Amino acid sequence: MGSIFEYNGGCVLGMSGEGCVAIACDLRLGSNRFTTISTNFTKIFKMNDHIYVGLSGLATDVQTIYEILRFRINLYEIKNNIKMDIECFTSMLSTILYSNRFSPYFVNPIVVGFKIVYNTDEHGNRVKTYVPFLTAFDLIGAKSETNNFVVNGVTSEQLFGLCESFYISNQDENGLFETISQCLLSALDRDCLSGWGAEVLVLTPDKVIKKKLKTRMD
Amino acid sequence: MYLIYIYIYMYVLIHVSKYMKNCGCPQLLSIFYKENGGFNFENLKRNEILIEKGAKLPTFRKTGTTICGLVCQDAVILGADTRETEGPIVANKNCCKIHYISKNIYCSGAGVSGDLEHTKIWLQHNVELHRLNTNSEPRVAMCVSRLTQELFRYQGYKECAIILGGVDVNGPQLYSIHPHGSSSLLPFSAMGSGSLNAMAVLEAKYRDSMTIEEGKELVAEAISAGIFNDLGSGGNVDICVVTRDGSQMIRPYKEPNVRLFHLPQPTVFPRGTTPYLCEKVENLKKLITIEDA
Repeated sequence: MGSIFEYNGGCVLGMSGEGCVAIACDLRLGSNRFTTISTNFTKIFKMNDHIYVGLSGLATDVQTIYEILRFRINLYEIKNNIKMDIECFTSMLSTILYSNRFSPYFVNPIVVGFKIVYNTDEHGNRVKTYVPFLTAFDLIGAKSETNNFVVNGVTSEQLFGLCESFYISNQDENGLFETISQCLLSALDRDCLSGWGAEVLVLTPDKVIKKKLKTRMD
Repeated sequence: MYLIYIYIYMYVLIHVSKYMKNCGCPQLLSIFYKENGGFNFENLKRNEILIEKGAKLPTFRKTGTTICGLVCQDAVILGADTRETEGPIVANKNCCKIHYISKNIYCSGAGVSGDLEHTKIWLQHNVELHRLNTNSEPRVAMCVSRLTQELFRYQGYKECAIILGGVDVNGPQLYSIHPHGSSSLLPFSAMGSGSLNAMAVLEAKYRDSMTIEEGKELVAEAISAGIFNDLGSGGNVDICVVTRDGSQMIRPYKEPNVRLFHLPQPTVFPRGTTPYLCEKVENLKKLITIEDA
């Protein structure tokens, strides 16, 4: 049968820029490795305005984890009357995955978004700054926070190589969109189990730009 | 005025929980409230069936590491490399493997990343609660006891090999703790995949009662031996000096692997390179938010 992650295929990728972050995924859903059953299976899920989660791996676990996270974040926001902070969210996801240490969910999540930092400026007013925040997890909840790019999925080896070469720090939204798209498209060229469409979301503190890319459908 | 807000909030809360009870997710809520810690085995049966059918269990992210520590005059020095691996791939080139347990106790770990992270968090919380309950400085031996008892409970399934060092009333102490729950009090120790390389350097050059500067140099040399000769270790050398008054985390102490060969001009893709089928822009700021002052 092969590795469990190859059953459905798929990959996710996140990158940071100057005051913006981007998250991208392919759109293929496979079955039993080589049959494609959908070309519209997105792996990026919105948790709240500033937290987006990319889940790659076994599709059934992707959907289960998404529902668990949606439940937990809604419950938190109702009980505490506050929007969940991204660091709190990554801790929560890490704990959920680790509680299944000996019977893991076969998902490799990434969390992409903004950390909201409050400062006081010289007049004494409270100023909100949005700091780009990227974290990658393995399937049992080990998190590693980086400031450049995060990759996960069956195409992760190709994506690591491409992101190392093409990543430029502190780009604006348009440059970031081009870089992340080119990395993803080049990686999908060299992987049979991912592809058939790709989706990129570029996030800034006050808007979200969602684009569907034109990819090769093989 | 605020009372009205409190009443409205309570009203909403009670109604929401009544709604949730009526709409059939009481089971999910009650499961959620019953979770008192401990592990969840709900996917075990499914995973075993998948393995029987021939699927391979994926590898966990490991810290395939070189960590070492040594005792010098009134201080303990811990060192670690910064590479995190996922099979043969480097998942993180600059992760921090030296963790704070208390003001005078630090630990560094090798093994499965997820286990290490959660064991470290558990130990941190435990030691802090103990410190608040007893109103006294935590002792290294206490941390070691807690850790070894916890790891022994799991019979080695939690794969963490830890070097714990700290300074308390009994002076500077260094313990090395193995995944099955054994511990040894030692003047110097190394663990991880690069431990043989680091141990060779430590055995050759260690002397009793070194100064802190000499200790830092020796630890850096031992970790560098691991970085250059072991495949599972790489990146920079991180060092932490723990003394009775506090600690100093030097991250990085040495960077022997700076990337030298860059393209003179980075590859910038001009705007419009990537063709896209459709675009949707959603403005977040058009929604009015009311915030407290």
